[in-house]
Amino acid sequence: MNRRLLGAALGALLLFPAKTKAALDLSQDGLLRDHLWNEFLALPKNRRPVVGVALSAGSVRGLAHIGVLQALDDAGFPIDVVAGTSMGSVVGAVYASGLPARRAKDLLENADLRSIANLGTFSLLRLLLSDKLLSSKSVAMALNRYLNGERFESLPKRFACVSMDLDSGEAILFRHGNVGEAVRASMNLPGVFAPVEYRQRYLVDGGVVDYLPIDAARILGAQWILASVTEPDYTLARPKNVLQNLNQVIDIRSSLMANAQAKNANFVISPGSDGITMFQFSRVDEAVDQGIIAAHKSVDAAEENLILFALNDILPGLSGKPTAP
Amino acid sequence: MRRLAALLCVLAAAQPARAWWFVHPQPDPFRKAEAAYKSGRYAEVIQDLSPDSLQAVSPRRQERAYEYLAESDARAGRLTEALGIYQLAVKLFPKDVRLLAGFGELLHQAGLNEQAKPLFDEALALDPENPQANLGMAEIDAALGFYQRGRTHYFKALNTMGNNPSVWAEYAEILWRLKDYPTAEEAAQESLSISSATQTEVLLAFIQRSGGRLQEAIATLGRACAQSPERTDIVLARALWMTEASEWKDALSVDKTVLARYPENPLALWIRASVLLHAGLRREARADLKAAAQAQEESPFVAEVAAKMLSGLGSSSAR
Repeated sequence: MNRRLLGAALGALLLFPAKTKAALDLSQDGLLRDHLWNEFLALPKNRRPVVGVALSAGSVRGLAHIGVLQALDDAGFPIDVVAGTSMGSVVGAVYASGLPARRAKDLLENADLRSIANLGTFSLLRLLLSDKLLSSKSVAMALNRYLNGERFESLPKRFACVSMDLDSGEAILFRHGNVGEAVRASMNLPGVFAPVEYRQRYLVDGGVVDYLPIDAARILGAQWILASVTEPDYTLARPKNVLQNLNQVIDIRSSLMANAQAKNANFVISPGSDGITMFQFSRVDEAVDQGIIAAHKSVDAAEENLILFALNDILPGLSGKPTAP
Repeated sequence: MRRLAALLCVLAAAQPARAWWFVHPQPDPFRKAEAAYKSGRYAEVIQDLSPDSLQAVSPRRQERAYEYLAESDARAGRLTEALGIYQLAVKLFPKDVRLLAGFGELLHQAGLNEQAKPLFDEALALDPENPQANLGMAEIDAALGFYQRGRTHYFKALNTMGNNPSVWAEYAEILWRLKDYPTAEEAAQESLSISSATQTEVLLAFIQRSGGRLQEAIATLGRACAQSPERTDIVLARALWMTEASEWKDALSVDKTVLARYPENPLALWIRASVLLHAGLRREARADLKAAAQAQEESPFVAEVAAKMLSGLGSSSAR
């Protein structure tokens, strides 16, 4: 630590004390936001907008969605529909089933996906050259075990996930049938897992064509959509070999797609990745923490955004009819 | 010969002390500095424990000497010095829990939570029950949104800080955020029983309201207003909650007490506008909303809501 620099920072910060702990917001904005949020939450479901969450792809980084959903739950966000791609579909399926989002971590441990964390450059190259890809059957089995073989139709919250047809490049939206199989298709990383055969199509990870499933959330009926985006910060990478170059290309493409799609969301939360790479399962807890931190910082702004969107529902007096003598 | 032998034995036994006094001929300043520190005479501590004097402190007391000096510098506003002393001290004594926790606290109070956290982590690894480190971590956890972790740390801090009303109040707040309203209320009441504070009364009111006891919450805010009549924020909160309870006349009456002093207060104008709208007095409401919508710098969200309501009223003006 540079002593002078830190001393100066200390001095400046003590003159302008930073928020060092959670505090009641009694500012005028804070009080009005609290009041209108209270009024919004008191609205019956059929008298307020349908609130949706779209969870992006992101491999291990995507586990930040667990933290985001936890922070939204803490703030009382009424989430009606969930759409997810790849890791977003795993977290989304668990959450839509009514389980706490953090159970997605346990699910991944049971699915033994950590084995792919051991894929170093050499072993991955060997895998590709031998044309023997891993199977993602364990994911479907783990999900079906956790969700008791749930079908989309019986989930407490509406849910959809996206995969891609390897032959046509078409985005395939799952919103009916067995959830476990659908999520398996959504997170079926091409080049690592063998494609999932489904109704004469070969399906892989939806992140290639629909990194952030905003459209899927709208199809489910969402009128106000919060997007949780875990895009890679490709600007930090310095690829040193062929596979790292390939990874960088994938990351750039994902990032550009995420940025373009995020413009269609009402509100965006972007947890930091802090250099977490695709298969760094040792940093799962860090990824979740990043989600909590990012969502916690943004939750006031998200509430304000939703309040303004739903103002006519919250304040019926605006319609011109007096509501009391 | 026996006397000579005895003298030689005494001299031999005194060698380390002699060596010490040879190297550090000054008297040990620790006791004086300690007494000054405990009496709050921080300037004296700083004077007594100069860099040369620190060297004269016996090895057994060095950690505490560094701690007293760093803390005295901090309390005297000499932050660069405090920082430097703590940095050196934790390097010299990396297993001293009080130094780690004290350094963490200094950084935490300055808002440098990222730097403070590892120090608290180290302190807690050595002493999981350390109250200062637990309290520091709890506050950082609460600020970052880690409410469950924060709850655990606050609980541990309270084992030894059970007489501190602020810690009880912070604990109450995190329990409120975790939606454990009954325990939150108990914690808030515990804080108030030790020391009555307006801010804690306000927190109690929020807890009661979240627990579905709006009337009690309004009454609690009324008590807080009486304690601190200069606090317009509490008066405005009370007026807003009265509208939630459909007590429109009372809300207006309370709101007017703020408008009498601050006729351009954006939130007070907004509250009056919403009462007027409720009564169907759209033209009068429009005037207040127009004024509130001007306050983009002071209260941007209030202004934005007012502007949106104005535009909604404008489009339905034919009705």
